Formats: sequence, structure tokens, C-alpha cells
Amino acid sequence: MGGAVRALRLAWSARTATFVVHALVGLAAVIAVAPISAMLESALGDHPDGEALLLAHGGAAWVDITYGWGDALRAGIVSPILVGTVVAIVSGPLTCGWIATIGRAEHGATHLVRQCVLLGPRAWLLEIVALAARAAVAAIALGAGAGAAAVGGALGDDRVAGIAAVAAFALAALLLIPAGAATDLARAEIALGRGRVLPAAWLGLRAAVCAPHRTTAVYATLGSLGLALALVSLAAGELLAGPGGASAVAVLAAQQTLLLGRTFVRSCWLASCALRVARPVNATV
Amino acid sequence: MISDATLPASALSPIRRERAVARGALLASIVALLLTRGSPAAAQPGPSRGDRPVGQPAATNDTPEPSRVVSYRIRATLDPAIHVVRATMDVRWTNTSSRPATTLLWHLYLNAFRDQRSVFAREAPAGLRGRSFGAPGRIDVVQLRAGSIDLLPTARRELVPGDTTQLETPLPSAVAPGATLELSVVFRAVLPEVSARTGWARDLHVVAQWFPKLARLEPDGTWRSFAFHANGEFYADFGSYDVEITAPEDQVVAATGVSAGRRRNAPGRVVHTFRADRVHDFAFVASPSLRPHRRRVGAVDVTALAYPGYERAADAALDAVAFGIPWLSRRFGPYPYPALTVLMPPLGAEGAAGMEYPTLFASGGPWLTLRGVHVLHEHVALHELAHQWFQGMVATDESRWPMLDEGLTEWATARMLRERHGARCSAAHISSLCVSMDTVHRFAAVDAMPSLAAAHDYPPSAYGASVYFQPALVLETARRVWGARLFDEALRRYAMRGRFSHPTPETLFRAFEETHGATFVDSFLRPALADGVGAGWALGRTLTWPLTTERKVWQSEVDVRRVGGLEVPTVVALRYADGRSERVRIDPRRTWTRLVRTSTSALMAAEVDPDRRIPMDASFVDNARSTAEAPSRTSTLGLRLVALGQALLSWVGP
Repeated sequence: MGGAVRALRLAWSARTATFVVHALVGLAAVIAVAPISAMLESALGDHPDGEALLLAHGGAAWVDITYGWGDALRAGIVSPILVGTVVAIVSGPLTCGWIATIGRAEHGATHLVRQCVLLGPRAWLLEIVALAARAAVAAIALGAGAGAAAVGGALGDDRVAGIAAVAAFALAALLLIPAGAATDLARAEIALGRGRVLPAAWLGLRAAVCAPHRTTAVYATLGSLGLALALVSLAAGELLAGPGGASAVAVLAAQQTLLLGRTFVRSCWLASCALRVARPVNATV
Repeated sequence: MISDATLPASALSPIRRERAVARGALLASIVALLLTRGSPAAAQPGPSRGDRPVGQPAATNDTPEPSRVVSYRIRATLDPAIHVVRATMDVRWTNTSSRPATTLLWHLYLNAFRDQRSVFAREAPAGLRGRSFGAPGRIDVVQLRAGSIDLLPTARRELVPGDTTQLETPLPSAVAPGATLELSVVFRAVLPEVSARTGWARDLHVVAQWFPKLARLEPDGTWRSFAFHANGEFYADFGSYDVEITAPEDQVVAATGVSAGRRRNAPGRVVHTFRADRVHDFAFVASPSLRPHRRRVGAVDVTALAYPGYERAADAALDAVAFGIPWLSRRFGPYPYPALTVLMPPLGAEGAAGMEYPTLFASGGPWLTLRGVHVLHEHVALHELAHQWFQGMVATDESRWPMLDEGLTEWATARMLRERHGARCSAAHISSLCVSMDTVHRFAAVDAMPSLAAAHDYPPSAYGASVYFQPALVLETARRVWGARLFDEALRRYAMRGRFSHPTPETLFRAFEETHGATFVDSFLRPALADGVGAGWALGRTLTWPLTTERKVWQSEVDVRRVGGLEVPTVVALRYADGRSERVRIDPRRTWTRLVRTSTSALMAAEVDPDRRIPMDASFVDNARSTAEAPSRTSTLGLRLVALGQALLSWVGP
């Protein structure tokens, strides 16, 4: 409990950095959706049903909007993919910089940027290691599932095959939780510890596996809370924009507040990682 | 005449040629109707070559009716361990054309799976339906005799270079019109691993296109034969089948027609006998794992054959069939056979799914089922059932005009789904989300080309759009705009006229001409199907302004534009600020109309085709417009998209 309070305090003390991260993601999202948003506004602007047309008749209007839009549609599709790729690439350094800022209870955006630049190369290396580890784990789980499904198929019972396939997917998805926790712990070690990539990865893995209640469980809980906030923000947007809907300011305020809350929950988890790295990990096991 | 040798492998055939072909076929149909009835008496081919007709001359009272031109008596043995069928076959064929027949054309369609040189493999090098080719298959004709004369030494085996799916056997002497020829065949069918329609997978054998089948001799005396293509495979004479299938006793065997008993002929082996009459093909399935689920639908015994664990899917298929048989019978004539079998292929045999044969079809399975989504398994079951009419009985040339069976079948399928689930949710109903078949067809028909080209003239990406979905939209437009009663009567006439015969597009157009008039056919149906001409309406400038300073008299102008060349009548709905609304008919002959209205309140919005009677309209988005007087709406779409983007980016981001 005391750890949670300390993490909360630490996260709060670095709230400027958290806000900057949130704003950066928001900016990326604006760039990502701008083309598709402009295309839809142009197509639906004069229609009496407006946006409601997008969901009417099972989404029939999408055929009309997308067909014949050529370059506009291409831009609408390519832009989110490009932005998503860029965000994924900078994600490692940004998270490391964020942890460093939180861990040192710094406030300024300048510190965040400086840490990102400083930690960049090691953070990218760690991302490669983490990605490879996740891919391997997923491949093993899915391979086992495919094997079980093949056995089920050979037995002539598709139910066995189906259950095996679903179980494999579920297992692969489940394994992503400790993998995520381990990655963040390793990032924290990079940001605040000795900074060597492979020991950091090993440390993260050990912590996630040997102390699941203190790492994986907290990560999963806070992750679920973050997911819930994100979903609530989307639902709130739809609700407020409904018939006789609220103003754009109200929609913006409601959604961004909830999404900022989601970012803060994430910063609390990163603060918790920072606190764990500050002590020898062995002591927590 | 061999079609593949003579038809240019162009892209879409010019429409003039299509019409010429259609006219020729129409002429051929008339000739067929005028043919005198001849004798089905046994023919003994003469010992030498020559033009002297063989067999008995036509005897007016004995010529088989068009639905019984040929009969096959097959004695087959299935060896499931090596996926081979060995068989002997006696064929009795009557020349119902107006000319002596000097050759026979056979379809050896299993050879499509022999190697990569077949027309089928060349057209679908990566396989069909997402399945790549597995173990090859082939058909070996060991013996083919007319009486005592062996026809194989003079046979031509590659009518299309590299492809052996057709066999031409010159006859020692011509078969006179009305005369009957008896042939005996010995063959061996090696089944392919199922990738498309036929073959084996797991312990299932779907045995289709497995025997040497005579092509169809047209009334003018030319053979209509074609290689086995990636799309479009049926065109044959109606006839009777008497088939004995010997299989290991653990095999559950079902086939076209009705079971005429089973008997044990050796330890561990059972002979299954099936008889089918007035059908143009014969297929059977065998597997030790299949379990029958039976239901009586009127006078029809329906059996769903499913693997263990597929009980719900079998029930769903039976429900669909129980709805579909009476529905289709009411509109297109009764289902004339006493039995119908529905196969649900298991996982691994998906390539065999969604395929029709007379009185037998392969549906989907639980792997094609998603709760609330009717457009998957239920759609497939209803679609293949509808093929029992449009292909099974109304046996059009699927290779030359695939739209005539696929387009009409798809239209009928969509209509059945609309009646079962309501138009709005006819394709899917998941929670509050409804998707209509209109939407599905409009999505699927985006790349449509003219619908009346030959199957092999379409690029693979445009086949479904052009042959299935666009015709369904065209037909549904016709029904909604010109009225259901007339439309249903036209299709009924076509189906009844084409029953157990081989109608052409002209038969369809003639039926519509009788009910709707020549103008409808010439200005709508023919250009829509044959030329791919589009239809639709759009609104342009939509303005309203006060004529007095008190704003008590308003002038409004709405520009209505016809999109596409087809003249489809429609209305424009005008909605005013005082809640009043009016509907104005638009003259479809004019490409552009300006509506001018003076009213006591401002025009808020206008919408052309407000009831969505023209599902083939290329775009509904441009069908409605608000005026500047309409209350301004704040669009929050962009903001909500940004929030969605943030939520998604946060999972790949920091």
C-alpha cells in the first residue's frame, strides 16, 4: 500500500512530463486521422443526416464514401499506418525518458526530451530484444496451439481443434501481460539503473516471473484501468455526440480528460517501476 | 464446334458479339422445340466410318423429352484409402439435334487437377477459395466403346493445348437426328486433395465431376463443350442416372437422387444404389464420420450430413432449407425430387463447401457461423438451395452466361434473407447493429463489369461482383421500382419456361418483355445486365431564400442529376421548416432537372430516392442535401476520431 502511495506521489510530481507525453500522442493522433477526417467531413458535410449516415443501413455509406476517393482514401489509410509506425519507433526512448523524468521527480519537458535523446540507442536495443522475446513466446504458444489443433483435427473432432486454437491464442495474449511488465521494468533499469541492455532485460524478466504478484498483477490491474478509461472516453464521445448532442468543447473536454487519466495511470505504473529499480530487485523476490 | 477453340480469349466480349451469340442460342432453342420426337431404341454403330447415320431413325412418339436426353448406368467402387473410384459405365444418348452427329464430346473434368497445365490451374494458379492445390487428381478412360468399336484410338485428348478436360471421339458413322447410341466406358477417377469443389480431405470424399460426361449437343448440331475453368462448370443434357457405389461398410454414402437400397456384396463392403431422373449431373459423398440429420419438408426428405459437433450447424441448414423449399417452389415451380441432401464439409474440406449438384449441395459448417450474421452459413445454404432451381432445373449454360444462374440465385437468396430477417437486418443483426443485403451487395459489387459475359472472360477479381452481386442489385432495383407483382411474375415465367431446359438471356428478357414491356427491357434490363450501364440519382445545388423581408414566402431550388445511363423513375422528397413535406416525381428521361418551389417556409433538406428503391445507385451519400437554413450541426466526428487515434496509439506508443 505504501508503495502505491509513493508511486502515486512520484507520478504526480512528474505531471508535466506526463502531460507532454499525452499531448505528443494527441498530436500524433491528429496527424494520423486528419486525412480521413477531412474526407468524411467533405463527403457528409451537406447531408442532412451528417455523421449518423456512417452507421445507417449497416454502414452502407462507407461504400459510397470510399469508392472513387482514390488519393484521399489512400492518404486516409496510409497516414495512420505511418504515424503508428513512427510512434512505435519512438516509443522505447520516450518511455525510458518518461521513466527517468518520473524517477528523478523532474517536472520540465526539457528534461524529458534530453533523457529521450540520451537513452535513445539503448532503449532501441532493448525494444529489439523485447520484441524478439515476445515474438518467440507468441510463436511457441501459437505453435503449441496449432499442434493441438492438428491432433484434434486428426481425431476427427473439430471441437477439440477449435478449443486448442482458441486456448493457444488466449495463452499468447495472456503471456503478453508479463512480457509488457518485464519490458517496462527493463526500461526502468535502462533509465535509472546501470543502463546495460541485456542485464536490464534479464532483470525485467526475473522480476516478472519471480514476483508476479508485485509486477504482473499490478501491471495488469493498472493496464485494465487504463483500457477502461480509454473505452469510457470513446463511449462518452459517442454519447455526447448523439442526437441533440453536446458542443464540440464538451466532447473534447470529456474525452481528453479521460484519456489524460489513462496516461496518468500509465505514469503511476512507470513510477512503480522506477521505485522497484531504485532498490535491488533481488530484495523484492 | 468446341467453344474454347473458337472463342477469343479476350477480356470482356463486345456486347454485339454477346447479343449475336444470344440470338443464335435463341434460334437454337426454337429449333429444339420444333424437333420431332425420335426413338430411344438401341443404336448399333456401323462397323465402318462414313456419313451413313447409325441407330434407329427418329420415330415421332419415342424421342426423349428434352429432360431425358441421356442415361448413365454406372457401377463404381470407391477405395477411400487411396482416393480412387473405379467404374464401368453404360451410356445411352439420343441425338436430339437437327443434324447427324459425327463425333462425341466428353467432359473429363477431374483432369483439371492433373497438373499445372490445365486451363483450371492456369486460371487459378494459386488455387481457388483460398486453398492451394494439394495431391493431384485425374480421370483415366481405360475403354470407350460404341458397340464393339473402340473409340479411343481416334480420340482427340487436348482440345485446348495442355488441357485434357475434354475428349473428342469421332464416331465410325454419324448418329441420325432422333437416333440413339449406346456406349460403354471403363474409367478410373483418382480424386484430388480437395482444393476446389471436388476431392478428399480428412476422411471425407466429395466425388464430383468424376465420370466421363457427355457435353451437350445443341439443337443446331454443334457441340457446346468447354474446358473445366476456374468458374462456371455446368452445361449438360438432362437425363437419368442409375448408379451403384461399392464402398467399405463404415462409409456413410449419399448422392444425387434417391437411395434405392444397399446390400452387402462382400465381407466389409456395401453396395449403395442411387437413382436420379431429370438431372444433369451426378455427385456423391462418402465418409465414416458423417451423421445424418433428417427433416421432412413437404414431400421432400431433407438430410443434412454433418460431422460430430456440427449438430447446430446442421439444424441451421435444415431450418434454412425448410424455409427455402416452399419459398422457391411457390415462385419458380415445385421442387420435383423426393430427396435433398445437404453436406456440411468439415474444417480442412472448406474448398468443397458452397457448391451445388442436383439434389445435393455442400453448405458451410460451424466454421462459417457467427451468431447474428446471416450472410455466412445461412446465406450459403439458401444460395446453394436456390441453385436447385437456377442451374439444377433451369439449366442455363453456366460457362457462357454464369449470371443466369449465379445472379438469379443470389437475388433469390437475398430476398429469402430479407423475408426471414427483415430487409434492414437481412445480412446481419448483432446487438443494435443491422446490416442489410443491399449493403453487402453494394460492397461486393464495387468492381462489377457487364454481367452477361462468359465466365472465363472475367478477371478473377471481378467475377463475383459482376456475376453474383451486381445482377442481384439490378434485379432488386427492378422489383422495387417497377413493382414486386410484375417482377415476380416475370421471373416465374422465366423459371417455368426454362424448367428442365436450357434457356438463354433472351428467354429471360422475353419474360420481362411480356410483363414489363419492351421499353423496360431495352432501356433498363438489357443495358444494365449486358452493357453494365449504371443507374442512380444525385442532388446538386440545393438552395432556399426568402422572397419577402418578413420571411413569409420562400423560394427553393433543387437540382436533381441522373447518374448513369439507365432511366429509372424516382421521386424527390422535400422537407420544409414548418414540418411539411412533399414528394415530386422526376422524369427519368431527363438527365438533369431543376425543381423550383415557392412556399411559406424555408426548405430544410431534399432527398432523391428517399425509399432506397434503387439499390444499384452508385452512391447514396449524394442523394440528400441540407440547405443553409437547416439548423447547423456541430460536427464532432474529427474530435472523436482523434480520441480513437489516441487510444490506439497509446497501445503501440509510450
